[in-house]
Amino acid sequence: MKHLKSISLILLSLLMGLTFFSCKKDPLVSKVTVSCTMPDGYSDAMLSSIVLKTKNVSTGKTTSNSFATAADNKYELTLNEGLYDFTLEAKIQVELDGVMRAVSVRGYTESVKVTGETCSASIKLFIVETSEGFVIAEIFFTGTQTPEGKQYVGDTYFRIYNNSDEVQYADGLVIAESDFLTVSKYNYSPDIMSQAMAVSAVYRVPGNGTDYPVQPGKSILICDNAIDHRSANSNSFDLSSADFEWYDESTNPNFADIDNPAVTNLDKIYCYTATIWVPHNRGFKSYALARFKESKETFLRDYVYNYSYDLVTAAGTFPMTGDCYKIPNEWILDAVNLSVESEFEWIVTDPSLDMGWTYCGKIDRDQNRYGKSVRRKVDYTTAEGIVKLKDTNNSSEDFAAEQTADPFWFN
Amino acid sequence: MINAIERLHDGDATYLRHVSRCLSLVVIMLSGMLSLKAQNTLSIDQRWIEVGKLSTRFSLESVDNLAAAMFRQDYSLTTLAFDGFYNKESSPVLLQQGDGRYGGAFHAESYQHLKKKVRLWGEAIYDNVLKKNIRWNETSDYDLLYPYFSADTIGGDLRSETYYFKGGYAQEWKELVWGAEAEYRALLEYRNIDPRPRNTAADLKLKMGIGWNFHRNYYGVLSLAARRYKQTGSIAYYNESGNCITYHLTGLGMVYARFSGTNTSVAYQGTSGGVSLNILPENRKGYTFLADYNYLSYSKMLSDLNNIPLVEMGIHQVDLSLAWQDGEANSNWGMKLVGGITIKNGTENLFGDPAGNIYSEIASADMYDQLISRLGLQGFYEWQGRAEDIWHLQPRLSFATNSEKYLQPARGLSARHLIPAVEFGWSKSLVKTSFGLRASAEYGLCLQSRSSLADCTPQDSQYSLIMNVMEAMQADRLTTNLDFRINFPVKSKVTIFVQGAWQYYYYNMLDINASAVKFTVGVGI
Amino acid sequence: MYVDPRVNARWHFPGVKTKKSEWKFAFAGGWGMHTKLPTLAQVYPATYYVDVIQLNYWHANPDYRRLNILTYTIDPTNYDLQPAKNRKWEIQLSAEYNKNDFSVTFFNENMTSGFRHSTVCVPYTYKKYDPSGIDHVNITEQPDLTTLPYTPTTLLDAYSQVTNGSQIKKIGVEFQYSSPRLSKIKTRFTVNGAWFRTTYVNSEPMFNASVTRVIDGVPVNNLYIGCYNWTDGMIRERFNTNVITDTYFEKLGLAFSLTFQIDWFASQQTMWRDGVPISYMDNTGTMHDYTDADREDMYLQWLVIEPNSSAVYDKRTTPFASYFNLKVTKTITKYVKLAFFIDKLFDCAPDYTVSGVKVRRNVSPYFGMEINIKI
Repeated sequence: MKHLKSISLILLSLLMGLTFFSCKKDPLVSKVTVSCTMPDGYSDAMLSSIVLKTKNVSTGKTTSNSFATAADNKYELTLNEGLYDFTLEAKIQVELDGVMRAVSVRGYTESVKVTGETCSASIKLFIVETSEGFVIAEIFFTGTQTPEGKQYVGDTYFRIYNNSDEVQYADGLVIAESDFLTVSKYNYSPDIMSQAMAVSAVYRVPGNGTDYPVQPGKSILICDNAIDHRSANSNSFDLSSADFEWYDESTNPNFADIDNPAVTNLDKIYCYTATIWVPHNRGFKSYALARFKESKETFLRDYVYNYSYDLVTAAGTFPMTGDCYKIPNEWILDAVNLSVESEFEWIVTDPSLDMGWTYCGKIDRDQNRYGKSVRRKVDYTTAEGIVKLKDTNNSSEDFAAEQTADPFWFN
Repeated sequence: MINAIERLHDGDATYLRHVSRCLSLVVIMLSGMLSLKAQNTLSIDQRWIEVGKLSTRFSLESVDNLAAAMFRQDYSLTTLAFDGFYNKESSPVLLQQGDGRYGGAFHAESYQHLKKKVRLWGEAIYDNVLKKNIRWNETSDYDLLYPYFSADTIGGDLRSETYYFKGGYAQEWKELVWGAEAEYRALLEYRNIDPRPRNTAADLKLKMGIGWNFHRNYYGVLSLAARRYKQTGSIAYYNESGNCITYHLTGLGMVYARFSGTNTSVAYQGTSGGVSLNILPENRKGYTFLADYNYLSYSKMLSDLNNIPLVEMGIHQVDLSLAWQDGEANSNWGMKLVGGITIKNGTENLFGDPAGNIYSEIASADMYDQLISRLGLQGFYEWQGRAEDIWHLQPRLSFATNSEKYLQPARGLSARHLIPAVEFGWSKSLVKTSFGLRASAEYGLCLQSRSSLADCTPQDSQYSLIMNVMEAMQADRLTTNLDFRINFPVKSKVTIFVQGAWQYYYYNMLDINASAVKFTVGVGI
Repeated sequence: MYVDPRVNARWHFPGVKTKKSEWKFAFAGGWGMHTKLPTLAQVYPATYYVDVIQLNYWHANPDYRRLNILTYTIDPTNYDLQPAKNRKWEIQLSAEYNKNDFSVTFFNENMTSGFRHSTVCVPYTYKKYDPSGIDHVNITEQPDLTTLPYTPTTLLDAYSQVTNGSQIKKIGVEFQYSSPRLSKIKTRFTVNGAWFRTTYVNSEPMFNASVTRVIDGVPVNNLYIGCYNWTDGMIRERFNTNVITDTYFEKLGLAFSLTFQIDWFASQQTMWRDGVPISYMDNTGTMHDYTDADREDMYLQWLVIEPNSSAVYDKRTTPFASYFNLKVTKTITKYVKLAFFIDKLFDCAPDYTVSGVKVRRNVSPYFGMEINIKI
């Protein structure tokens, strides 16, 4: 019994000692130096009111950091190791009509690897230009659901809005869908995103230049089938009064599209599929509004984009190629990136066209996305009663996501 | 006999954790003189008595140990049994474990003394269980893989089937005894309505050991253990209008946000190694010392994304036990000090830009820690009357702590419990039958509890989960058990037994009560 | 009637005696042909229908809508289809010593008339009605086809027909070794394995109508379908070995069988093909040669189907992987045997790197039970 006591005391103290033993580790942090490249023509300007937002891709959390002006436009901060997206907003002094004004600049860099003791990142800044002219005001791409819960096809639409103070003409407006998906990132080569957008569906409003005027503060509605869908699906809308529709003519009755003779058809310039085109139903592609600066024939002949990339799978790496058309960034009036939070990997337009992305649905095949659209927010109303929509080339901020779709909500 | 089902649900034993830690099988005692009879002349129920007596089991039952298996019993026995069980909580204590279980099992067990000082033992179990209302957990083997589960907000009932096999061999040679044991468990769990998980797990354990009779009747046994574990799981949705979010939990209500969504195929893979040192007397009188160390590490991979190792866990486990036992003609007594520690370290891996579906690992962060420790003191006194009447009394007192930490945002939960318990057993043999009864009661009193949860608001979807984990950890528990068993020798070679066990437990602060019932019918040959 | 001859010969060498036992050698060879007849679906394929919309007039009033479709019925039966013939020869060397058996076989198989689906292109003419003149506001009834103007138009369509023309060439080496049951450990060892290389090729140029682009409102493949000089070939190679240990405890009625399955490598290589077509058919059914100038044409440029990177034709190898399978059989009575097996619980499938990307492999185990009843 004596032995028992001493042995048990030893055991007890051993266990107690182990109880307080714990390996505490702090997360590894890294010092990041962010250097900014100024927009063309303003390489000497100084930034002020600098706000850097860092989004940790792994946890999904965004933190905001403010900085004071630095002479070399380099800023330092400490972050936990991981993968980040950086967004920088600041102001620079610009001379406009002889007067110095503060103009907003912005920059966006994706997928910055923050590892090791120190690392660096660079952001290319561009001046935020408010648009004068047409903007994409609403995109309805998910389609509606029938009362039985099935997917319904044919009632998707785009609403284009005249955000300026003068009459604009819709003739020649081009709606294009991106070729790349915002949920699959590949290293496409050659990478032309800073000069042009790769598109796989291009439709154009016909007209000779003055056929279709649009008043300031008014919209035009472009839809898939301009018919009254409520007879087939009571949850859908009546689109027979739409301004334009796109018609995919096919000789194959399996893919017969509907052409309402009362509604003007868009010109089908290029499409990747010979059957019916619908906008990507789950919201994985981006859209642009553009105007050709060359003729249609020149575009179809010379603006082909051939690219290659590596498809890496568990079965091996496969060099893949693809081809589509490209629309130069100068021709693009407005662009909107769409994606889904759980799948988002990158934006497929240059950040100067659209820096963010908007969505309907939180995960892939989200059952709650039907009947919802993305709609541009109202910025303010002028004295004459004309509504101005928000356009800062950042869909994350400019658009209200997951709105109940209504083609005539705002005319 | 140690209840095979308890050991079987090693990875999923919460409801059984509350079943008395020692035995749930009451073994009746038959009359008389036991020690010197050659084993062949003892009838089956006499052998059950000898094997199941508290004085036989007391020193060796703290750890699942090769040495314990080698020296477990002096008699050959084979038992086949069917049982059915039902467990219901008035509301779930742990959301991730559900609020009820019912099902049945078949098990066969055999321990043989062969000629030439050879012992052979084997066991086979099949069980089929329906687990009710599991939420926030679509992964199997809760205890093994906590907290790295896949989860969604819907959950449901889960059907589970387990196959278990064990075989062991020990042989004496002069002063040495060597042994080996292999255990294999296969598990299938699934659900037939959306969301539909389908998990299959395979778990193989191997042990090898060698013992040396170094002093009078004392053996020192050194054994090594290895284990390989794999689980693959996938969640399917048959509803054509879409899926829900599948979360990958990383502890204390946190999720791996980047990969939440539709990554429904996961795979777990783990390996463990351990060493065990034991000193024990051959005839059970004297000191027994058991020390086990085991290290398990596993990783959770997302199968759709090139099997990236999302999170990894390392578990250190130390178990120590020191017992002393003595006895005279009619009575036996003893004391035991038991202790153990489990340390878990969880690491999350961070990934860079994907090319297609291929992510490269760029960094890793140690985020999760858990520390569980327990220390207990047990004593027993057993008295054997002349009218084939045996009774025992076993008081126990334990002290247990549990603390979990998550690094960033800083979250922590901890609790300390003091658990006094007492058990009383009585058995009697009559002319044609024999029976036994056992009753026990235990109260877990929470001495101290702490919680700090940063960045946690009631609007978070995981809020109900973290609140549930916290309340379950820090509650007081009252557990009572009542078991009975009746044996009917049919012929000289066959004995039938019927056994029933009832357990009731009550959580004071949660106002949850639960009862579990198990009924067994079996035969010994 | 088709004849499938086969000739086999075996020559036993005189044995070489040693103290314990005797070495025995044998050499064997064989040659044979095998005919495979086409399946019923290949000999009597289903009729192929081409539906062409001539008029698709939609109006808000359902009574005024009109849809007119012209259907062509095509019989894709190939009356010249022949059965596929396969020729195989092999040689084998075997040795036996003290109940240890060892044999190595080399075989060569060739089939040149295998079945494949070829694309046949045919132009179809139809009347493309022009509804643009209809006054959709004042219309009072369905448009009358006799009064609508139309343009005779041709479109190209392709259907597939079963032809002979695939070649499969296979060579390989198989080996097998089995030992007697060693009484001390009650175990018997068996090792077997094989190496194969299979080549699949086509023997004729083929049409390919997979271009789905629509340029300026017109699908490219309605106008032109390219004909390519493709072998459509693939070379596959694989080498694997199995080591099986078989332990039987007669007294306990227990048998353990452990299998190490080793896949040394498996590789695949696509044979090079020229993405530029050699000719193309236009929608009148006329074949034209494809010239360099055509690569600038708005429509014809899309007929070039070629990868930009030659890496597509690299050999792709899946490296070493090994699996461990266990099967335990218990003889319950003379007539009943119960077995339980787990496959791939242990595996050695190391990660490998392809083009700088790490590919990880994870293997799921599977398990089952088997019961054998002898009646």
